[in-house]
Amino acid sequence: MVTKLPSLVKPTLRTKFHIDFDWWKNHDRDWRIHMRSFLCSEHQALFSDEIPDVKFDLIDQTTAEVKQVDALEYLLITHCSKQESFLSKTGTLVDAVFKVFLTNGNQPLTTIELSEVLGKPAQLILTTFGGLRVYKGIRPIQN
Amino acid sequence: MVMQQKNISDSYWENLSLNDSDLDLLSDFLFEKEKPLRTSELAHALIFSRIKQEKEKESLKQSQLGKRFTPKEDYEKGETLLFPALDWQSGIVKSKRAGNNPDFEGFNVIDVEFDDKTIRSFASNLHIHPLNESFSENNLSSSIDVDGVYNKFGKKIGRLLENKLATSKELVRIAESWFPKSLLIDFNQGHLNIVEAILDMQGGGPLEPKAILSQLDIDLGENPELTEFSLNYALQEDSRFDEVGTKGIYSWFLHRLEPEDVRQVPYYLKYEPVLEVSETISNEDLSMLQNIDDELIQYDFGDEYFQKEISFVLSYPHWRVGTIPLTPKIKSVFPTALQTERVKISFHDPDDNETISAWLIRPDNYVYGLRDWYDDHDLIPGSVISLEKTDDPGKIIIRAQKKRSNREWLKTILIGADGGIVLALLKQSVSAGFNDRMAIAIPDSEGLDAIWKDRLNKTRSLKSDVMKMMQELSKLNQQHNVHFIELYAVLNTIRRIPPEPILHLLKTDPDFKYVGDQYYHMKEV
Repeated sequence: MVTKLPSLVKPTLRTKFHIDFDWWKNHDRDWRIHMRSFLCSEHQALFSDEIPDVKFDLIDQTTAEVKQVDALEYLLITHCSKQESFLSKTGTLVDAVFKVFLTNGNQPLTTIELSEVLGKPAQLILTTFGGLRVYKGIRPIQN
Repeated sequence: MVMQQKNISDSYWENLSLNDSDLDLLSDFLFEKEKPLRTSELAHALIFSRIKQEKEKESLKQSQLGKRFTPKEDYEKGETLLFPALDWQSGIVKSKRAGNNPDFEGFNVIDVEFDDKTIRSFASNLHIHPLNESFSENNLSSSIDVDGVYNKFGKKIGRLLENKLATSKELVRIAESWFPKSLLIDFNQGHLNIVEAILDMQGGGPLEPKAILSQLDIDLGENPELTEFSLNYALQEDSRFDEVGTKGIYSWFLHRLEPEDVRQVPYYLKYEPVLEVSETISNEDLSMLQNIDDELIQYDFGDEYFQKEISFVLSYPHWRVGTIPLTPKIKSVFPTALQTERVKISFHDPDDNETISAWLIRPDNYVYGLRDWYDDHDLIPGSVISLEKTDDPGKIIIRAQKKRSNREWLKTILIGADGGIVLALLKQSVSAGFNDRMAIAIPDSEGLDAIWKDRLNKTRSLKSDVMKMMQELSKLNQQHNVHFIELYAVLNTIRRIPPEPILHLLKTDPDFKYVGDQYYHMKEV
């Protein structure tokens, strides 16, 4: 019997995307440095040398589910992404989408929903993130 | 095990029946609000209460199957928990540890194993979290989609509610609003006599309650809405007064000063059923009946009409009295006051920039007040008139179908010196669009009036009238065949008769023969 390989399902406008932090950990040694660039100026100054290697319990505001994240993720999600200057109008589409996920606690969103937040065409967002190349860990959620 | 917080199914609302507890609930609601509420508002209150009851029952049932998870509680290993935010999935606490988060202190993290063996972690002993509040009274209320249910089942619930509320001796109703009788403000006979005088001075009315109250010189108190409702109720209970407002707008008229043709059906529109009509009608005949669109047609076509604009063909009786028939199709452009039998409305003719005051008589299906307008526009029986709704439900736009003034060959009713009727095709001056088969010129309207007067106390068989008119019509063409609609139109110049009995007679009497295309032939001819 021949077992079929799982096919790659082409994402659609209704497919939900998120930041796959595992992808970062597996593909980019400098992910912490990259993430650090998103920290607010206050925390960049505070952790210019090293970010403590500690895990925090991040609590979901809807379900009270707990997810363990490292200190960098925790700061980005709970503090830096909440700053007014975080979602600036300038910058690349990839950075803008990345920041949206950091702002909302990495809750999965469709490209239509992202389009509403960013004011960019949903199809453009889908074309960017729906291909084989993964930008900054943003990819469809794996069921 | 997955528990669902079920939404109430459509069948619950489809099979809804109301009980005395519902009535008590709504009475209490009205007492609490201290103001009259419409059936639709009470329906919203009822839907809210029913959904709340069902949700509480469901929650109670589910809580018996496990403890509902709320982050503020602390849990121990082995406890079974239900997670409302996760579609009521249930799981067992497997372990517990101290939580670590710089923003919250002293909370724990429990690991829960679900039915599919997945283990997920949740915060416990956490006193600040939205989920702690989500099943409080307020949040339960906000999760109830009353409008969604009302939009889908509002009509049915409204009907049930009206029937149930009508059984209450404690509640009174004015138009669409309900209120406890015991809370009404009393208007005595003296007040009502003054209202009669006020309306008399206004030529009968119409006057809105606010205008009446301003002249009554009474203290409106803290609740003017209730004062107004109480006045409306007192006037409704007194036969001297007639509520003539459009839907939702109360307006009062002195009954005795209403035109005679408003107080009773004009003679020209009265129909005394003459024979049983057939229940089985061919599709071809049905389509013809729909075209004729007579307000006396008994057959229920089951159609609902929502047009903004319609047109209709004027028949002799309506032309003579100055009325418009209220057929289901024509009704769609008029206001439909729920309880009011006679509604004061106005027409606007944009071509002449003229406003015509009229009465809509709901129980007898006609609109009165257009005699002068028909005369001014030289309309004849068979003229086509269009009606259009406006944003104001009590104001309708009226137009005669445009046509260049011309002389046309028309069926003309001539009255002999002996009172006999003769039909002839004569050239007549016509100034509005008309329907070929329904159009009839009446040069001697007074002569025809005399014939109606003469027939007033005599019984004339439908068959003899049909034979007489068929004889006259058959002379107008060489084949001597008569089209049904022409016969119907001509018969209505001497008696009010809907199409169904004529059709039944022609179909069942051997003296008449159907020759196709709605043409009939009289055998003697």
